[in-house]
Amino acid sequence: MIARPAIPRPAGWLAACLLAMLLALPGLAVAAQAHLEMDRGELRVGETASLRLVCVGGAPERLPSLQAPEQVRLAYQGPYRETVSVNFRTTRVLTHTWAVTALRPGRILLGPVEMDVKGQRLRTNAVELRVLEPLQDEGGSTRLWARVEPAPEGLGQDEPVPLWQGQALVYRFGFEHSEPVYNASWSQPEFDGLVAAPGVDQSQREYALQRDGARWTVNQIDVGLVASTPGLLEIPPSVISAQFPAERQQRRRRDPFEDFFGGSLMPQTRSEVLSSGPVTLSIEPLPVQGRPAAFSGLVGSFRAEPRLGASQLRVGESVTLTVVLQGEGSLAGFKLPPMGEQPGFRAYDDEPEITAELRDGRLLGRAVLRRALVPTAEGSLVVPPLELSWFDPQQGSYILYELPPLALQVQPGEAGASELASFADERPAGDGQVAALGADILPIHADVKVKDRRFHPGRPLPLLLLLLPGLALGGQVALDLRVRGGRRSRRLRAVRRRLESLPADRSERLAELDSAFREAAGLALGIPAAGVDPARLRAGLPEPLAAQAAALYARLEGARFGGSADAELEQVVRELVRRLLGRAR
Amino acid sequence: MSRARLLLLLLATLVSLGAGGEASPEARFHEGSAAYREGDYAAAEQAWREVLDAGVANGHLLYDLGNALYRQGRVGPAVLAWRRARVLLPRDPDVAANLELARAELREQLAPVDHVPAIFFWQRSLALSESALLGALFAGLALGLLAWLRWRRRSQGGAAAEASSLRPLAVLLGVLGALLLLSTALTARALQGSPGAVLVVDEAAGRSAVGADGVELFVLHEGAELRAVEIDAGHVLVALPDGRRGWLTQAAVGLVRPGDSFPE
Repeated sequence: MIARPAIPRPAGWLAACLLAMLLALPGLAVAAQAHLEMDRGELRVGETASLRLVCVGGAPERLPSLQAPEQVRLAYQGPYRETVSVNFRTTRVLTHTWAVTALRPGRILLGPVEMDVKGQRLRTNAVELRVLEPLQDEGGSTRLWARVEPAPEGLGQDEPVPLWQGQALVYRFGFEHSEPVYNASWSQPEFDGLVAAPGVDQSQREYALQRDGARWTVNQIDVGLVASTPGLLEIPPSVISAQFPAERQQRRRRDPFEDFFGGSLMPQTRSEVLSSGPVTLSIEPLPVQGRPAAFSGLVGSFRAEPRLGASQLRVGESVTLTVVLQGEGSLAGFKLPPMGEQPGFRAYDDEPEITAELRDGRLLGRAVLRRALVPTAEGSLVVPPLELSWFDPQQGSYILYELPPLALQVQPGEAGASELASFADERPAGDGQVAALGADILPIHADVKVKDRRFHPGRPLPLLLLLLPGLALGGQVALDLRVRGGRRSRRLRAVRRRLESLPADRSERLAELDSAFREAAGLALGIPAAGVDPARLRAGLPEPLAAQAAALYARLEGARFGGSADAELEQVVRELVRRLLGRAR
Repeated sequence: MSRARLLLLLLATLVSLGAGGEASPEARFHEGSAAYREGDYAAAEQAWREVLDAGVANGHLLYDLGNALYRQGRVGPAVLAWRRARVLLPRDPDVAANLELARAELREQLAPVDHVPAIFFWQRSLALSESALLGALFAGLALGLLAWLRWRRRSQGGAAAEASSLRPLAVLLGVLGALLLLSTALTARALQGSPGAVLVVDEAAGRSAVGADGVELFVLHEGAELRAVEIDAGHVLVALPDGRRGWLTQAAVGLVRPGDSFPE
């Protein structure tokens, strides 16, 4: 006997797979990570905000120590643990929180924090915090302020913010309140002498802070701008209209309707219009002295990163030179300086990818500039250096950045490969569609047979198509009718013959009379003789024939049991059969 | 003279009479094509008009005539010819393209009034003769199928199952055929009763009444596409797409009826 090998059942396989997945899950667990985060990047003296150390996928063995600079005071608030499940993967998150209270103005760094998690040494990021002078205590439950970033340290509240022409700035507006606010609406001031930074939307955020033991909510709006007109400018005050909870007034009488609709459910509010102070700017024109020839009007603090796709290629192939320029400032409209006619290669620029965003009160720009280089001759090729220049407001001087010369090794290519049909700036209009140069009518129809194609209702073909099958059907119907009529007339004649030659025997005579009556009634009703009954006679025949026929039917039934038919009955049957046959005809 | 010789003589006489007469419409049409290719558009127009006058209303012929008229700068008559061609060749892309080109040159950019009311979706895709033929075909098939079923039932004592499966098909064909014939009748009625009209003169005034006594309601220019509402004593009451109506002299407009004589 041969032993069969054991074949695992499908359910067994499934269980094994699930078990393997479960065992593999710890291996897929997220590696421990940690970072520091803070709601806001600035505090005024006396204000408190939260600083959080978030540990994902593991907890430090003990509470990490966090050094507090002298400008702030740190107070540990405690841990908070949570478990997050995403796609069957469970991750533990531990958050330690410190309350950061600003003590003295200045710019500080909190962190980085170092700690051991599961035997692994982790180091977090550092959080930059700017501590500002306290606002004059105006009392009340709301504060409104506006300022411009970047503003130099130690600048007095009424002093103009120094900026350079073309420099990017952020107009920051804040609305702080310690009581609930409804329907707040901000009116943006006119920014004369400034232009909106292209491609940047204004940003809005809300955060909370502790001030003198009370919880304050801050609504902050940032607007990206570029200084365009030199001179002393003033941004007028920002205005906000909002509604606040009102003190409930003593009512004279109680009204249930008012209690329901206007009293207990609908909050009593008061409307207020608040305004911030103006902001003064002093915009300096860019210096003429020291301006490089390559300067194209770019203002900001940037860094450039060149990248070449390949260093070896064939004649006719292309290699892309990519320059990424990024930093603080607007890069809208910037392009690589033209290269001009160069021996040994041709250059084609792609559309620059330029993005900008507002982050922490700064306008950050990024431009990706691509230039396709197509060698037209083999051998060693040197792409000449490329000069980029911008004015750096932080340094107050022009920067000249020179991309080093690029060396390419060009191998022989296929004949004619260097002849390019088109490139980015040389695309034909209409994205590949054939351009229309003119319009004209289409040629005549010459090779056709000209027969009269007018519509005539009497054309033979449609008539034949209709008539032939119509005649065929009509013939069929006529034939059927004729056959049916012949059959009917034969039955009529047969009934008459039976009445004329009745048998001598009385019982047979009665049976023949009964049969003739039924046959005649069937013909008159259009049904077989076997289907004749009093109900059908009454329903199918007109009065008084129906009543007479039904009475005769009953009389014949009775006579059948009596066994004979008298002469009077025979006469009645003959008369009624005659009338029924006359109707059947 | 023997009888055979007499017959031969008679035949020769008939042939000579035929040869001595005017050229056949087919030959004249090709003469027009040759003239057109040589750039003699007036000769082409003349040849094709003769074919039309001989009673041949053909879509290709009208299309070609439209081309010859357009080449001579007569946009209005060209539009009329192409509109008539479209009645006979409703799916021809060349006709539609030329018509669109000519319409772009018209002084009045009126919304084109179609020659058929759009009750059935196929009315603008089928020529009258096509819809009539299709309708007759479907109806004939339905009648034929019913006749065959009746014959089968009678001759074979009733094939009930076969009849029950084929009778719905016969009914469907009959309904389709009836609808096609109905649409043919409606289109023919519209073409006869209130056809499209095209202004074939440089300029004409629509008046409130027949004759010069009527108040001038509007002025139209060559190629304007209208709808004829009423034809009375050498005048045509036309309706503009915006609903305004006015009387024009019949010589100023050509009706979009392929069988009508083509205006000079």
